[in-house]
Amino acid sequence: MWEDIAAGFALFATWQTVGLFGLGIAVGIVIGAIPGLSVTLAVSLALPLTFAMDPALAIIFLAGIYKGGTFGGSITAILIRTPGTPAAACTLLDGYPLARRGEAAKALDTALYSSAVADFCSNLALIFLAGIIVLFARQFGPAEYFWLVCFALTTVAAVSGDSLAKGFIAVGIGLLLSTVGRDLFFGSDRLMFGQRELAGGVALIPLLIGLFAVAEVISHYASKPRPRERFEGTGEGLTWSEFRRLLPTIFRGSAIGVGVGAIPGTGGGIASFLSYGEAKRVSKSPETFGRGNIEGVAAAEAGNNGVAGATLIPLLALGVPGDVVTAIMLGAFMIHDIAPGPGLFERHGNIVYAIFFGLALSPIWLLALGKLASRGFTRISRIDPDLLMPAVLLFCVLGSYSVNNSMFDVGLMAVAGVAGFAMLRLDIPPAPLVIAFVLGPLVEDNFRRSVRIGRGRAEYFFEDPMSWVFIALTALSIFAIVRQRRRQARLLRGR
Amino acid sequence: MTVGPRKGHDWGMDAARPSRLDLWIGLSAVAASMALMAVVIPIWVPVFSTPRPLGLAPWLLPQASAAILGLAGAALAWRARRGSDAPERTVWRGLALAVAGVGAYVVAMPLLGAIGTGVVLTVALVLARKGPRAWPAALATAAVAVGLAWAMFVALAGTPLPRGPWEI
Repeated sequence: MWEDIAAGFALFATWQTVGLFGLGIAVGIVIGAIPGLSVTLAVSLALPLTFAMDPALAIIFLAGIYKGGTFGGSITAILIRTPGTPAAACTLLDGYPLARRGEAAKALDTALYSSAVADFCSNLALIFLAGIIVLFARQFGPAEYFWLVCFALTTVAAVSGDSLAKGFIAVGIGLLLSTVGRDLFFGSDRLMFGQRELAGGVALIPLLIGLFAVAEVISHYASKPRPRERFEGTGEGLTWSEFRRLLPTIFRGSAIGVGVGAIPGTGGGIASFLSYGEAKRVSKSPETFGRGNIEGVAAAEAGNNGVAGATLIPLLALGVPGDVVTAIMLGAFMIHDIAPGPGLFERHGNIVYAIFFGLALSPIWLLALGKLASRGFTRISRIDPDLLMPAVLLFCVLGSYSVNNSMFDVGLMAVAGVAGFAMLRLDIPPAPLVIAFVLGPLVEDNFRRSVRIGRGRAEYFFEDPMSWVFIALTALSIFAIVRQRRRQARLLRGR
Repeated sequence: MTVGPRKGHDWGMDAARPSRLDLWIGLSAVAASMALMAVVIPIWVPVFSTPRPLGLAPWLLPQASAAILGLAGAALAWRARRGSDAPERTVWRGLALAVAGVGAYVVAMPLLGAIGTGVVLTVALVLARKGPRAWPAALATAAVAVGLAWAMFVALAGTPLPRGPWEI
């Protein structure tokens, strides 16, 4: 282990790695601060650029964009009432009223400090919990893995979007897409419809770029332009005594973020609203929430940034992505022929520790870049999207082309883009599709291995107690989510 | 005691109000699922017979996925059978412009090269949106975007982009 730590440190401690991580965070903050561009779009577009990088460097760079973007989304939420990322929607509730009162600097500082503290807690959780989960995961056989992936798919279908049925439609499409190509077990061609270019399956990067980036570009052109909000003055920043008073809220939000992030299939949006709700519940003045209470900003930001590191726990320890961004990171591992999961810690321990060292630096980078430039980023948020979107489209096309130097992939991206736009308009969430797409081979492989080991006996799937734990978790999560949806539906009917 | 859904009961599946559009999405998913099942069944297996045990069969996951799609579609259609009309949110002219832009890249890039297509389409998209007077902004945007793209994909990543008739 110590050898791996030393090798990981050597891999990390170069100016290229440290600089690239900072660049990733800066890119993430900028993209997150531009309304209409999401973190997922940034990470999808950056993925082709990681081909030439060392695997650890690639993951650190993508993680930097993710973390920077998670904070960057709050800047526009606070200043112009437009969340840069879906996870920042909760920050808007109290951040924007603060900006309207002329206290934008206080709201931005609160968001930055809460993000940095939550990020630190989240990274600590990742470093300590990933190793423990790996020890458990080493005992898993193919049947337990099969149920674990089923649990992840069920959760992501249930929590993404407003409709359970639409979530499962997306999962069905994702699984179907994952089966396209030649089945390596029997050599049969599946759902290729005579296209030889599909023999290796649907390429991940053009699919991602199409679903998340091209769909956003099309959506921009197909939507009515929205009038921009203006804000006046930034006011005083957050004082030390105010920050100290916020610490319990920030730590509570961080803990909620870590808990939510560690569950495969969830995301920052849920964590920020849970954290916000909890802060409001324990507050002595809950009536001030939604009217410009800095506690609300702190809770929301701590919740969604607490997820950013913890969501890497299921990816690194189990090989199961926690959300769309980590599904893209799984793609980065796959590009370098590395399979995350318990084997990653055994065979590529140096990479794991290099990632840990990199992530440990993220709160410092976040504070430095965020504090240095959060006022400047307000100008970025005013960039005219009509000038930005054609440039984004050019990067989408070249990013898709660069995967295999193939125009077929550009065509695939175009089809995925139109499909992604249709999904946006029909409220079918793309996240379950992507996660099902990357988990499809894992489901099939573990199912087939279980069938072979169990010699076709169905009982083999239920012999280990761990299988029952995952089956129970799946049933429990569906029950909890359906119950919550019924409450929401009742509230809607009552309006 | 009544077993089953009451009139208008939603089984707690959706938080949002269903729309008439959801009915069509659900029915389309059911139709797609049935079509896929029909396509998937005759997947050619280059072994002497259907593999035993059945769980190893190459058509099992496609079949199961199509079944998930169909069941979810049926559930959505059932839920939305009394839905109201969804509000119109799409600007069709803008949609046609964006789809034409994406399609033009696919058609024009092998002919004009990546840089040439990038310049032409970036300028065209900016002008189409901002009007003919915005040509200085359109040219500046194209120069910055194409310059950045060239630096990242050609100079840094070494991607051999299509060069077109002008070999640029």
